[in-house]
Amino acid sequence: MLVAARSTLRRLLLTSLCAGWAACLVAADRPKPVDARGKVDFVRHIQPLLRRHCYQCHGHDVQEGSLRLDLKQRAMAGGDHGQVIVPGRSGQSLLVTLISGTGPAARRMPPVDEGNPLSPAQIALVRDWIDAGAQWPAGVDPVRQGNDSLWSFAPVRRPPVPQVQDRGWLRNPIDAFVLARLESAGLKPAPAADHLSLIRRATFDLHGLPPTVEDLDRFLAERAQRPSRSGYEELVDRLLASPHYGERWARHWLDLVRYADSNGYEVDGEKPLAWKYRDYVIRALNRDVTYDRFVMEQLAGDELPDADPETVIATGFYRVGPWDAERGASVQPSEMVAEMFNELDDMVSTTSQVFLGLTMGCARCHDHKFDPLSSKDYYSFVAIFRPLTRQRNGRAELTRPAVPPPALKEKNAADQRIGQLQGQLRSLTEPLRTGLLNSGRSKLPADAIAALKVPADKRSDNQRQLVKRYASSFDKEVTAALKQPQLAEKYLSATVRKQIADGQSEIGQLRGRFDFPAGYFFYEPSPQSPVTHLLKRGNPNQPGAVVEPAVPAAIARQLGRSQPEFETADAFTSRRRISLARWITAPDNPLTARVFVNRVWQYHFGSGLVRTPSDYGRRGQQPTHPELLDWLADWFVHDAGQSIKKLHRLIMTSNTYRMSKRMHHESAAKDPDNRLLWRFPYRRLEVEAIRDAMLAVSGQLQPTLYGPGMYPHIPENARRSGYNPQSVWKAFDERSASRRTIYAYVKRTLIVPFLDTLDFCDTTRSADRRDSTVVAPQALELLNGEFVNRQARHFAERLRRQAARGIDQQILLGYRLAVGRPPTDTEQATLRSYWDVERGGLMQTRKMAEDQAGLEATVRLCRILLNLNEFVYVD
Amino acid sequence: MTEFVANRTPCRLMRRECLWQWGSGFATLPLIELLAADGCLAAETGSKAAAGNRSYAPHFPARAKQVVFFFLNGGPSQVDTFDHKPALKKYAGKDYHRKLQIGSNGRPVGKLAPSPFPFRKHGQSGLEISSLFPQVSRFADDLCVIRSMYADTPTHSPGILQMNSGSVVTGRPSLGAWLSYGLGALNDNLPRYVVMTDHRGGPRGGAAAWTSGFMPAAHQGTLFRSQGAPILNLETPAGVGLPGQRRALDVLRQLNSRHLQQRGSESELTARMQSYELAYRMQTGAAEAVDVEAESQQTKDLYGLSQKQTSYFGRQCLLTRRLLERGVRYVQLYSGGGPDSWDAHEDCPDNHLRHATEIDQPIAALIDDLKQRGMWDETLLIWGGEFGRTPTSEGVDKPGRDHNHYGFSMWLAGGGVRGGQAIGATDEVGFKAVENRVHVSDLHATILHLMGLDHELLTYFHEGLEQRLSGVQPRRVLREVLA
Repeated sequence: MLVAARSTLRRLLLTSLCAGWAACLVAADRPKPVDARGKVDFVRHIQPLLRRHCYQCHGHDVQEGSLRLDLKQRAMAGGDHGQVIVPGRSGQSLLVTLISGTGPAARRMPPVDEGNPLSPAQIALVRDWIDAGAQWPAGVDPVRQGNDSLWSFAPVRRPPVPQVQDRGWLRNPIDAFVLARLESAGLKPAPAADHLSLIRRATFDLHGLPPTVEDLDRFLAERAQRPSRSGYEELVDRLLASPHYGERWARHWLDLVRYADSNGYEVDGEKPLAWKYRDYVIRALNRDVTYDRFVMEQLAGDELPDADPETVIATGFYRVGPWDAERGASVQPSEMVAEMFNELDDMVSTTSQVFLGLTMGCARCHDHKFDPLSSKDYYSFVAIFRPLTRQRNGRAELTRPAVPPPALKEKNAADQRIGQLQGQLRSLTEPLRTGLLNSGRSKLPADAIAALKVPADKRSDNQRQLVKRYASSFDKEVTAALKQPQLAEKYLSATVRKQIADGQSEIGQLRGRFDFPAGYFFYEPSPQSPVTHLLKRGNPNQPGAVVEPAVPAAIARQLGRSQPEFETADAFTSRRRISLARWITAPDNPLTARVFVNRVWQYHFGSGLVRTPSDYGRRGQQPTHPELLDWLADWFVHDAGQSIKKLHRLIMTSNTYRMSKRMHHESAAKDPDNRLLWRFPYRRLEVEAIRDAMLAVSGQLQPTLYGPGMYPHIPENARRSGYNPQSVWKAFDERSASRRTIYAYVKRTLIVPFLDTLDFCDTTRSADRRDSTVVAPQALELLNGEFVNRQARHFAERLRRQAARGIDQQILLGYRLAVGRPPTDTEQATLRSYWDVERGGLMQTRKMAEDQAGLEATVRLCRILLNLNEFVYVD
Repeated sequence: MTEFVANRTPCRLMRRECLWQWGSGFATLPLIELLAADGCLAAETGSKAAAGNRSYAPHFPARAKQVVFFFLNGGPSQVDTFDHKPALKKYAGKDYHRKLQIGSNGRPVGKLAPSPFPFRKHGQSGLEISSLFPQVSRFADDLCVIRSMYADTPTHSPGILQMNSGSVVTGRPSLGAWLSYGLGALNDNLPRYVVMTDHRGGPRGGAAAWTSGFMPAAHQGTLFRSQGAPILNLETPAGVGLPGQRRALDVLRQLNSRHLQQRGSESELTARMQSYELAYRMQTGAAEAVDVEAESQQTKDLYGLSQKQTSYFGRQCLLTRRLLERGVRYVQLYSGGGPDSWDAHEDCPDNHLRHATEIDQPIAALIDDLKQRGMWDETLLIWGGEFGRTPTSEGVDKPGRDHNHYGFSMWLAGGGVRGGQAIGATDEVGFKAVENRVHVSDLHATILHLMGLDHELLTYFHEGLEQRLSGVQPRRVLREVLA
């Protein structure tokens, strides 16, 4: 009893103290609290109580006694018993009487069987709130269906750049927005990062690789020679100009578009040539294709007026998602249809999340539970993608020539002409064919020759089989014979020979003109779109009204106009996707730029200004810096011309980006999550950067760009997976596996354990952010795994080659390679003595020669360097 | 000023907590470093003591010391499993007429639909369980079914977060993290908190479900691989051996400590150092701990390893038993994931029969096994998902059920739990919890109580508040659950 009482007392003390502290914090940028207890805040204190205790019967779903407490207007108006909140007069407010149970007996609210009573402290809060005037700010009410207002739907307006006290700190407008928030919260930005940290940060950030020792030396030497110039802007430009930039940033995009090289599910079959889409993304980023164009190419690259094979391959965006081949290729129509709608859902969900920050997938079976998105909106989106078709043969996926539809028509005509010509060639060469068969010149088996001689309609089953098997061999013999004048002349007249030559040359020309690369993407087989119905509860067996392509009605309304114009079909496609793409990339779309600049910000800083980067709805978080977000969005569209590289440059040359990561306990106490950006946030490198940095440091990194996926080593005991466990992974080839990690084959049911353990993304749906867990299996992978130990050995050999003067020089170089800086004397001494002990041990117990023992000891030392915290946490 | 923090857990005062309370002064920093060296302020400083050697005292004698949580990802239907509603037969095909709209977030959904799975009374207690769990039914007298659960959201991701962390938003520590923080380790050579997801995929939101949130990163759950070897790379590299590994790790720790010192406290850096120490210790025992093959064929058969349907979950249950034997504090097993979870919108009977078959025998085998090995009384079993499902059907031809957070069933069993009873009740049709309503946070409070922790005293200081798993609202321990 006593203990309980004491703990209650403590809790009360604590509550009031915390409230006091909170009030002090709030006081920094608010008027003085109304009383000593601090101002009761509706959103923080009162609304949660109402939500928990009252909404159930007086909320959106039910309004007992006609009373509704979730909306300001309704709550203030009261219910059947009149007003319940009398601002400034808690004593006269029925609400207080009811929740405190001081009114008529058995009238306590909530009723005994419906919920727990409010505690005295909570009742006191409500009383204080009413006495202080029952302030209920606008815009905080929960909003449901029918209410379109969502901060992210409002048009982007460029706010003025705020005034700050410490103007000297500003380098560009970003800094003003960040500093203004910091100053109003009584926080100071961290000091600038030093040159070394900055070059490492920028290089990892843009390339996912460490700077080379030569880069470091040059940069630091320049700084020493010309201290007045930072040279940092030039560094950023140089980094942006390198193709490594695309290799790094394409991976972020691949996370978003749920990229993989296989389909997932039980069968997990290959997506042939999916890697061409990956290469497209790398190339587009390196070329600084503007963001609007980048979006257009992926959504409607085949429908663009200047479509080409590259833009057609870009539409692979739709097809790289998961596919349940077993159902999709099922003989049961219901299974096929169900899977088709799953595919469409994948397209709707991914497209709406990636480009618009909307979770439209939630509206598949019913109107969105939180955002103004209806099922009709969902199926209107489905209608846009409905014409897309997968080229396949049963469960096996097929590629297609990457041809824009108009050219495809020509190509098909050409293919037909080629077929015709081939038929003609066949008749023209008939005498030669017969000659070859009869003269004994053919090298085919005797029974095949005999079968070929028999007229087609007279062949036995066996002969038909033989002809089928040897037809192409025989064709080759005929082609070869045509090239031998003495043979050709023997059986064919000059006229015929000329006709044959002309035919062959035409075939060659046609093939050359329509020689398009193959690619992996969906296509629209016809400009006539299938009808799309709204499906009741998402059930294909319950089709409702027919829907036409449209964008979410609430956004269209918010922009003050009706639906965008959806083009009508042309001779080739439905033109639905290009209509959508135009709407998404229109400069006044309120979401597109906000969503994109926030993503770029997030990949630079670890967290976005909106910390739910793919959910700008009500379940998402509000931006920490709403004005900065809008300023950036507007600047990006209007000043930067949607150049992604310009956006990087602006962000990276701000002082905000150049802050150090140094801990500041006072700031951390006020803002532990660093929401206001008082320092550059700490975050572990993503697994690709860790792996690539190890390859770079060991000297093994293969710089080859692009091409089919490579297969990193997978240990035998991890190789149990999927449909065909024996043949799922190609044999290890070190040279190709030493390419950058973005080129690793992504098999959905068998993620390379090194990647999996170190928080590779979920490939089944759009992944907007990497987890950053810290667990022992990661340490085991980095200490004992095949990859790290292999690289440690290469690293040691490299040190031997490049630092021939002995172990001290090797430690120095090794440290610089691994973390960019030379070791301190203590670090040098620690590693040296470790090396001495290891080498001595190896010589003594293993009877190794001094030289070999030295190398082995260096390998061990290198393994430590690759495991340093400093290796994976860049300053 | 400091009086109120002369706290129930003085030694668990965190660095920033001290700074906060002692006036945010840097003058106090050296003192904090000293405390850290003493193993005080442990969880954030990364000393070996902090990594787990210190067994943290519970607030009162614990009923159980280890937990297994069977998480039925997607939300199992209560009226098809543990909440028998004969009235549904009567109302089949009818609308539900009460003040709440049925279906998630109050939208109307379908007609009432009875369960196709017959219920039967089991054991001495006569606890009613449906035919979906014939094996688990053998232990009816051990189960305490809570039929009056309710949660705050009808949406998967926030629901999974709430069931794990008490909150529908990300960033708060999960139950396993609280137990790790509150109780420490039973075995320093294995993770305290192990998570195994379904082989078809993890829950929505991924690692957020086993995060340590604002606590030091060392308290987060360790995910075991769901296929093949659960942990890879337990062997030291050729020629290195354990002593060689130790020497390397000592050097690594020295270098990392200097690095950390220069940067002030960083939870992640500290946690990473600790993870290497744990990795080292795991090398000695973990390979044996996860070696399910060492079990007899009879045991494997018992857990269903030889049948395709039960082999995945069976292997994980058997692995769980081995981990419990070796002192892992908290094991969470996910049933259902990726594209195939318990989220039975389309065809509830088919979905539930398939998933229930996968887990029924393995769970029963684990119960059997724990009893035989004398571990039953110290192990708390929790069964349930993020919410339940509606008693109405979404489809026509194949009854599917929608999400329902207004009322659903979970069960507890094992250490400290009074079995053979069902507490609370939903309404006549099994839609809304009406009797003895149990909020997710009440369940959390009860779980902590069984583990010897007072949910109001187990706090962690963050953002100016003493944070609790059970949140800021008053919550209760369900006394009737306790044996």
